[in-house]
Amino acid sequence: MILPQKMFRDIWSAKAQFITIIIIVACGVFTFVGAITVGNRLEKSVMSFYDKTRMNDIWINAENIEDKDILNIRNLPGVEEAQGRNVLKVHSGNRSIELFILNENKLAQPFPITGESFRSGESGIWLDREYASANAIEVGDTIKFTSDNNSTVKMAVKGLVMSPEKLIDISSETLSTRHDLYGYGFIGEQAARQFIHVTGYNQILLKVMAGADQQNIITQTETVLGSKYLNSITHEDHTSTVGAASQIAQFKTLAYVTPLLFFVLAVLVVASTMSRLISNQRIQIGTLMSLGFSARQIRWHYMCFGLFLGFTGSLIGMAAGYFGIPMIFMRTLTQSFILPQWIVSFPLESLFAIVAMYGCCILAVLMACGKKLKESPASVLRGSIQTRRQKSMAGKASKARLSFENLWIFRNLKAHKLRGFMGIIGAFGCAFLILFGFANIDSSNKSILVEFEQQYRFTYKADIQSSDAASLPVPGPAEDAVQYIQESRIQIKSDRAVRNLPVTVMGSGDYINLNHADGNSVTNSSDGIILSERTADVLGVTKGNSIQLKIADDEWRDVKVAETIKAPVANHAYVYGETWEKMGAQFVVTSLLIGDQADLGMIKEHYPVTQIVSKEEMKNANLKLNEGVFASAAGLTIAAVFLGIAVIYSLGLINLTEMARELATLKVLGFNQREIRTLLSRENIMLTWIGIVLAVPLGSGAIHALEKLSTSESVMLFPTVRISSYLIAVAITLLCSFAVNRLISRKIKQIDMVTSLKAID
Amino acid sequence: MKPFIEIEKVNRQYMVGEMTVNAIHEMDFVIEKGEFVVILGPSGSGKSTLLNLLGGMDQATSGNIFIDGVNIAHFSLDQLGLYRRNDIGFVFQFYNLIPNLTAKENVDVSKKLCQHALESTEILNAVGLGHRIHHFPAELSGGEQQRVSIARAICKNPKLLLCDEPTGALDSVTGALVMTTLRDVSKKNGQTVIIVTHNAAIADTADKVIRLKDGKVVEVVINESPLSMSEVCW
Repeated sequence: MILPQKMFRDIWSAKAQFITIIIIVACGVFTFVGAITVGNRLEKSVMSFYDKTRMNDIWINAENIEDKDILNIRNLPGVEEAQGRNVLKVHSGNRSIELFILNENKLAQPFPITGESFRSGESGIWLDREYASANAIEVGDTIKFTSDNNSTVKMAVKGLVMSPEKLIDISSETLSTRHDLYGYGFIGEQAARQFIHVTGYNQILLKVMAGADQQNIITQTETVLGSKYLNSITHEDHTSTVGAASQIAQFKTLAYVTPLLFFVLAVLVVASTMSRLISNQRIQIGTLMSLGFSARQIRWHYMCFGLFLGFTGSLIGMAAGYFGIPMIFMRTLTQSFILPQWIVSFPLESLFAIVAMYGCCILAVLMACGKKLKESPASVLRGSIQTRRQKSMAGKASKARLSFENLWIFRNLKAHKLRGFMGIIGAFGCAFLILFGFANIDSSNKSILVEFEQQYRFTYKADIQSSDAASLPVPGPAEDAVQYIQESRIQIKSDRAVRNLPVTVMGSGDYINLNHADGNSVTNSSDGIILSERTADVLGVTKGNSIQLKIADDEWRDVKVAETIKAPVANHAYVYGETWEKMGAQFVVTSLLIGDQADLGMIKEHYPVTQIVSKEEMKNANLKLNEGVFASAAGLTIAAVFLGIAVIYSLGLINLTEMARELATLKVLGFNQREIRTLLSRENIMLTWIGIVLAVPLGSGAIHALEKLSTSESVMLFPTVRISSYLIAVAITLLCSFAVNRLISRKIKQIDMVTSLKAID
Repeated sequence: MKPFIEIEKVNRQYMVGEMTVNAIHEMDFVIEKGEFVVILGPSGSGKSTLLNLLGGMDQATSGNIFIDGVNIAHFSLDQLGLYRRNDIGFVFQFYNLIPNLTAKENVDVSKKLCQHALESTEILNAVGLGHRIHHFPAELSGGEQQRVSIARAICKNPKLLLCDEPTGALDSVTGALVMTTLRDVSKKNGQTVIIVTHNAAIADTADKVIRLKDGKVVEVVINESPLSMSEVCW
């Protein structure tokens, strides 16, 4: 380092300026490191959980699977491990438990939290920790449950566990987070025989080798199982794994996209500040050159400023991002994801941000040095007058009749375009980030509102023991009318892709209202299947196209796409009951949709109800999932405020320092404090409004772009920006500008006429 | 008749680190209305400090400064601001024009502040720049810039015109031209002019010469027959 004392003293003498640069650098690194840290923490924790529990890759649903089938499948090329199990629903009072009956415990192992570790040969149940906690059940307690065939059994709770298949804190069927009502448990096959007749398995877990083709393995498994095969689910279809992967991807996107604005601003602010510093130190530079310092040495001296700013800002940003952002998000994530352990590690990708920021700072300094250091010492010493002459010659007298203040602003901006651009970008960045954050909330909430206020018109949803629709009472008159639905899974195949997705079969009734994107209702179509837009995109089909559908047997049948709709649940299919039966499938009612006039008591009498949940409950559960979006909006707003204030303040300081002589002249002429403050603040407000006007359409456009780019198969974004979001973004940006004006106006008072008007250097 | 300017036992002290500097020490003198006064002195004699006090840009440590009967030494900062606005015209050594405003616009800045300002185009014509009013300062020579500065100061029609080394940055020919302009225009408008300079040649053109040394008045000379600018040997 050359002349380090000079560098540190220069920085100290313009500390306000350099502190704002450090803040901008820190903000850029902060947003990157913070988002990457959270995404990394979630990813590592999930992967660690998967590793510890030997999470499987594929679920195969079939009937009467035998041990020899498992052996044959295990021997298929690409299959690392295969395990059979039975999955069934049992009920404990009004509570529902998904029971996993295991003969072996090789894959998707229950992770012990308290009590004993799972052993398939022992009696007893290993219960979902969340369900146990919500129902005040402890290890050693006995619980009673009833199967669908009305067999009741009591079992001791041997341990409390977590399952790698249940990461997401939401019931995939009812979209409820009611742990008191929904849970899961593991029991050994021996223990299961106490209350059910166990013959074969109904599910196979497969773990594939690295690089193996999963679809190929599924096809081969289908061949092995023959007519027993029902359907398959991969990580892309599974609610829990998709949810985790989607959240991780979101954080990584946030990490790589959001800081871009800060990086651009860092370059602008550093270039602007260093350019001014170098111009003001023209005499010093000329003197150093005269003494014998080379241009390269002097350039390196100024590059050290960039390195120091990059280092300090990056260090602060990294520390704040690594510790601060997780504090904002982890509370929400730990509530949304059920993991035994959160792994804290430093993401090495953080170093990218630091290296990138260093690069930006050095680039900015090189821009600032420009050609100044290539001149002879005499030219450098003389440079000021020539530079000013060239600058002023660039403008022509405006013929427009502008007031003095507007003329001042216009000419100042014309002479210092980079500074004006910086001011606009600062305000733009502030307004854009806030608007984007709040638009995200609006859009996420809109998805939920569309689903629960437009699409779903029922008041209650009752789960029943699966029953043939024909065997159930015909829905009665209006006051206790119910609509039957079947919720199950189907496989759909097109030329482009194969997907396993949930399907809702709708009996007669209008408690489910499917709308096109234009808001018009989809009419009852007996002509085929109704797909969500996202599913149609993945399959590469549109209305009228043919696809192949497999329901509960090994027959692929051709079916038409009757409609595509914008559904809040991105990956979903809907079929009317008549169409379903025309396809040759049996309408097996799994749930009832009930209106607000219904007598729930009578419903329970007439139907084999296992569970009733209200639409409000389901809606609130979904809204709870949006807490992560609130947290990210809060984070973006904080970063935006820092950005706005730092950039606008930096601009104000540059203006003040560069125009100290002119402002002192105005003071001597008799301009008072208020008049001078008006000059500077009016320019500031004008640039702020330009930034806001640009940010408004781009901010709302960004949320639409996000919807287009989103490939999530679990959540469909409904791009919406409420008026309140616009107002909040505009108000906060203007507030930042106003706050800066107040800070700058204090500095105007400090301009000493005598000192400022001394000889030009 | 009372003098236009009365300086009574004025002191101005500065702290430089731990040292006290007496920039002006017990200064006394008077100036009559309409006089063309030159204040001479070597570097560090207190010339600029005195001008700053008279111009309301600085405040005396003690003493009285009467301008047209009003003691500005006891003015608040706001009162000094109004004083500078309404009563003072200042001409700087290095012009201090606003670089992004044309010549006419620089003069109009003054016009904006005063109710009784003179017409900017007329003033610019009077200083010989009628053909350059739409040019920016960087497009004007040093002498032209200084004449714009003079026009800006005079445009306010001030009671008192203060000039701090107005020819300090100019060559002798241009300096003579500027001084001639200054003298002629101020005389025409009946303004009291105080010029601070270290150029003794200008002193012969003044009605009164006040010599300073080490912050004190050492001599006050009244020229009964001041020379015209053209008679001065620059």
